[in-house]
Amino acid sequence: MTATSLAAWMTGALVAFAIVPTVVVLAREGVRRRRTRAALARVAEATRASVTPGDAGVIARNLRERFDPATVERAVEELLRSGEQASRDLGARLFAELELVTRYAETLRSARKWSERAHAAELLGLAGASSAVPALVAAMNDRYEDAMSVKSAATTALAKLRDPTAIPLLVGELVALDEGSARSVAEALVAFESLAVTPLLELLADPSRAAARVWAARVLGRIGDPRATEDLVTRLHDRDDLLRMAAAEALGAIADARATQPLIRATLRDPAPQVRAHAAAAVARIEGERAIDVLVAALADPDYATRLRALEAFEAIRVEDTSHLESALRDPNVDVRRRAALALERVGYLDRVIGRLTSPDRATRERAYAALSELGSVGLLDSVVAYIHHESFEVRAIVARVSGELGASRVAPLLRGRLNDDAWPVRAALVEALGRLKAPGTASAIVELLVDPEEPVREAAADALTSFSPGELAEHVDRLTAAYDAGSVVVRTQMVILVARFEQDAAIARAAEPLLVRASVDASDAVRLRAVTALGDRSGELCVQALVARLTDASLDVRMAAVAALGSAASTEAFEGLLGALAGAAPALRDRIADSLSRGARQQLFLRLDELEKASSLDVRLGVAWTLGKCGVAAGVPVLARFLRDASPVLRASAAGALAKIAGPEAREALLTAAEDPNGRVRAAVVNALGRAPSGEPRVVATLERCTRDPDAFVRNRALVSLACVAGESVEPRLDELGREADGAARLVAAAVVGTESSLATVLDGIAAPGALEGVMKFLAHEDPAVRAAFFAAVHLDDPTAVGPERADVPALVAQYESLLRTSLDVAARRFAVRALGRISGGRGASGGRSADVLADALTSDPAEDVRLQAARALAPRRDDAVARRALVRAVGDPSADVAIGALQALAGRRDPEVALALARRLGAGPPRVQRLTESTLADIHRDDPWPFLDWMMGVDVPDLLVPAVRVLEQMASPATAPLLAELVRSRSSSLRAAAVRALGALPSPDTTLLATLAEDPSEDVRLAVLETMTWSGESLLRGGLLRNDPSVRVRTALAVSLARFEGAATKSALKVVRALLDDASPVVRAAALATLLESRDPAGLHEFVHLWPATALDVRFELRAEPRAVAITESLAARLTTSTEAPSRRAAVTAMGALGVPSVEERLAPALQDPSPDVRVAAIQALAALDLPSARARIAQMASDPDGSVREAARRSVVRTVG
Amino acid sequence: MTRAAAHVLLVDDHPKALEVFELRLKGLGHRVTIANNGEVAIGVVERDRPDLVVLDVTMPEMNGYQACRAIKRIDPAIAVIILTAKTEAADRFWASQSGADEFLNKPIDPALLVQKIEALLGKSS
Repeated sequence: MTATSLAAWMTGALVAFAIVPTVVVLAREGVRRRRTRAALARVAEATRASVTPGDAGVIARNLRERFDPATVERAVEELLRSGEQASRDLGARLFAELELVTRYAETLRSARKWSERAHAAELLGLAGASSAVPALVAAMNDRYEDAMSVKSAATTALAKLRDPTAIPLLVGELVALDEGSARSVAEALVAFESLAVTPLLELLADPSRAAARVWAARVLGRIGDPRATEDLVTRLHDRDDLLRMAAAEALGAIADARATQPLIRATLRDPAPQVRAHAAAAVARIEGERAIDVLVAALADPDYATRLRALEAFEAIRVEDTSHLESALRDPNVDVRRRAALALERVGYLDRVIGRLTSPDRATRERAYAALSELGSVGLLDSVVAYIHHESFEVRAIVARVSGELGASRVAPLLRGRLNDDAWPVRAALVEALGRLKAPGTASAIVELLVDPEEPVREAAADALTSFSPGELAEHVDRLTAAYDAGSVVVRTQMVILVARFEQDAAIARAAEPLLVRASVDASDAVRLRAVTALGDRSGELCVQALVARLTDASLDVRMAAVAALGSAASTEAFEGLLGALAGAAPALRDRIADSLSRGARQQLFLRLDELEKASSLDVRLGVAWTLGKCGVAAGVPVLARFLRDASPVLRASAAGALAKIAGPEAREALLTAAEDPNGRVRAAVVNALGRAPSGEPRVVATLERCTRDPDAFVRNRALVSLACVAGESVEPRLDELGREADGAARLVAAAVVGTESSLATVLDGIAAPGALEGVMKFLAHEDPAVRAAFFAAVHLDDPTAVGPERADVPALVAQYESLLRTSLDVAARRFAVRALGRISGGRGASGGRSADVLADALTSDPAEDVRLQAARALAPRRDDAVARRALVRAVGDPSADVAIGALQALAGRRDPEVALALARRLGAGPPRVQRLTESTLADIHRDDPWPFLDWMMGVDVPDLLVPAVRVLEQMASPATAPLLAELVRSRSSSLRAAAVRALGALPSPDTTLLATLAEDPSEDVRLAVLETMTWSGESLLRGGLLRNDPSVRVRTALAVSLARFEGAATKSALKVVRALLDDASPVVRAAALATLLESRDPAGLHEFVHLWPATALDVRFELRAEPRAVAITESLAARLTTSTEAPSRRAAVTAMGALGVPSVEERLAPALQDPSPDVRVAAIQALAALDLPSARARIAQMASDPDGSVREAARRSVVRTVG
Repeated sequence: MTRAAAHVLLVDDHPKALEVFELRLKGLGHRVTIANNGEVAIGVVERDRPDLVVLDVTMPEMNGYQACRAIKRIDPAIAVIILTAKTEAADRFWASQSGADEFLNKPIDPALLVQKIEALLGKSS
């Protein structure tokens, strides 16, 4: 046999072996089917023949007789699987009749093949064989049993059986089975519906069955019986996350509204995210749209964790309306914002936003852009940037832009990777973003785009590069230069900016110079300006040349920049260039040139000053003048002085302005000579310049005073202000007169600069007038900054131009002063503010009321006495205001006497009880002058009706207060107080008695008899008081005269003094008493008595004095000279000397004056030397001799040639006496 | 001779000082009201005319003299006794000037005060 044939034979054999069994099986199956069909046909025939159930047994017997068991079983199985209920019912009956339950149960229990066991389980279920439940359950219980087939079939069978007895068994199985099997059991239990609820609830409550409880919850949820709600709600608090989750899900499925609140709480508070999510979903299922309201409220919860959970719930619910999630993007808590962004992304919001970026509606696009930016900023940056690969170039470009704005450099690599994008808007946006991000290493990539085919990209790249440091770009100088050459104005400008920064490294800076020089002649003004500015920071001939060339640039800005740049250059070329630029230069440029010349080129300027002075160009000479002013050195004065005589008034004025900046007498001299310049502008400039002269310079002051009469108003105004600057306070008295012809604003400014109290008062009054302040501001706008500053400093205000736009009106002024008073630490400023408020706001409307509060505060609480005093004065006119009055009343107790007095004076005239009581309580307190004023104010208040005061004072329990209270009565001098005073003089207190005596004495008609009785008071003070107040007459003198024996020297002296007040008939009696006092033991008393003789209205007193004087003891003479009345008596005697016609009287007067010896007596005696009476002249000589003064001796010496011999003799003697 | 059940108003800013008098007066069958300052006393007088008022001089806000004048303006028939620790003649004088019917110095013997009260009440009856 060949191999081929062998192979063929083997193949055939194999095929045969393969086919034959198949054929056999098929044949056998065919036979079986045929037999089954035959059996079924027989069953159908039998069924048609009978309709009663009992016939199933007959049919069963028939089948058993005619067919083999396998065929019968198959037929029954076919019936069980039939689509017709009647067939299935018949099949079930036959199954039972044929006792197949037992057989199949046995098969289920013991068949070797799982397919058989599964088949058996299935058929038992189909047959509805309840008796098979134990077997089915046992199969489920078999841990080794196949879960996917047998157990599943058993479960299905049990479900179909719906035998309640299976339920406990199934529930029991939940406990024991694994996860996979449990699912089947659960499904089976679900089929039992409400029948399974109770056992499931019991299982749910069993804490030892963790996994089974979870299944129980799930099954309960599937069943959907509301009886499970409460138990499931309880399980929402279980420790097991899975159980809580299952409970939440189940409650959602049951949809019982009772579970809503617990689910909401779980949504917001459960620690496990999955539980919260399930709870949220459950709430959504139960509440539908209403759940949103709950969650929205939760989004506003102060607890951020709650807000977080609400967001999770929103996400879980997947609501259409994302507005609440969007609003959470602006939550104050960063975690909440991030969570909101995440939730939005998950619900597709980001996609929608991206979609709207290309909306045809602009507003929509803008909102989308904003939303995108917001999402990126709160944590979705990576998600946003991921769209850099979006198919739409618009989206890509926008994403790039947003990425740049968000500023997270970590996305730079991603952006950089897209720089080769096809769309130029994308490239431009990317470049811009990279410029913002400034990530290291991206500069090179951007430089590459300097040569991008598209202009906007190149410009964006150029602009972006300005964000990078010079160090990062240094290596790209060539590329930058190339970009400059090829770029637009924008690019060229940026390139200039970039290379201008290459200063640190000298080599690179030099390499960049050619570019700058080229750029200095760029067609664009902006580029040239940049280049010129950059060149100014460099030195080198090349740079200077380039700058000089720009001095004639078409653009003023470029010329100015070039001038400024050349300022630091000290080269001749720079100097010449600057000089050349003067020609035709506008004032601003000229000023810049002068500034530059005064710096770097100063030396050259002075070297060529003579030449420049004679320059034919006025512009050059003006430039020189300005430059010399900026130099500010005396070397420039001679030239400027000559300029003051130039034909051009502009130059003369400029020279004056320049001289103002040069200190020194030479400059001043030059200015003074120009004060009479025929041109008003020149004179104004001179006057302004003179205002900077040293304080008080006489010639300057005189010149400025003359200029206040200048025919030009501009000059007059300037002169007045300058005068104030120079003369200061000394000009204050004449300021009004000098400013008569000046504008009001100029006068106010001058007054402020003068800065005295009264001038500032004038200023305050002035600026309070309508429109005045505005006028001052306008005036100051053109004034020297130093004057402006001086004005505002003087009035303690902020310069409005310095602090921003402010109203220049009175209310604004008041507000400033109020603020100053409340906040300034400077006493002088606060004092001024008080004055200002007192004068400006004084009672006007709302600002006045507010100011009263501020002033009251200042009065009661400012630490500076000066300020409080000013406040008292400021409040005085407002004492009718309750706030002001209260503050003034309080201020009566101020520790400063001046402030207390100020307050008292302010309150004088206020007769309300509050003031009266406050003052009464202040009686006896404070320094004497405060006490006096308090007493007089009280007296004034109560003058018309003393009773309330009397009642008050008598009710006071503080004895120390009574004495000052009685002093008040003294000042009142009201007869109504007499009876009380008459009682008070009987007080046990001597001080009170003394005070009462004085008060009685002050009455219009004092009871002198009563007073006289008090002359015997045991207290010296009382007796003295009596003598002070006594007006002597008859009887009173009788009593008072007894006091000549008073043990007190003071009393006897006072008696002597008081006796000078005698009148009329008592005169002689009084003199008697006086004479008695002349023998007093005390020289003080005797001297007082002598003085009383001199003071007496009775001429006899004087003569008596003269008679007594020679014998008067030395000690008495000394005491007489110390007599307090000596000056007044001397004056009186001097008058008599000139008026008396009797020589003896005049002689007596001279003698008395000499005896008194007051300091001015020589002058008083001098006329007596010319008296017609020699006796008088002799007495004068003697009196002058006693003075022992050189001047007196000189006068006496002149008397040596007196025509009268006695006079000459007296003169000679007095000289001898002196010499001797 | 006394009048039974008179209304006596005692005024002092230290009411404790009046307790003794209050007891005594109540013991005698009189109705006693206590006020601790002049303003309150005036109010009592206006509402409920007492027969007699005893006033301490030194009280805050309104002293005894001021209160006495005010009481006398309301009803001159109301008897007023002024009490004070001040013993000056001027004080006595002023008490009379303010309209007081009696002036007594502290410390006061309760019996004396009661006696004075009874005497004044007897006069008024």
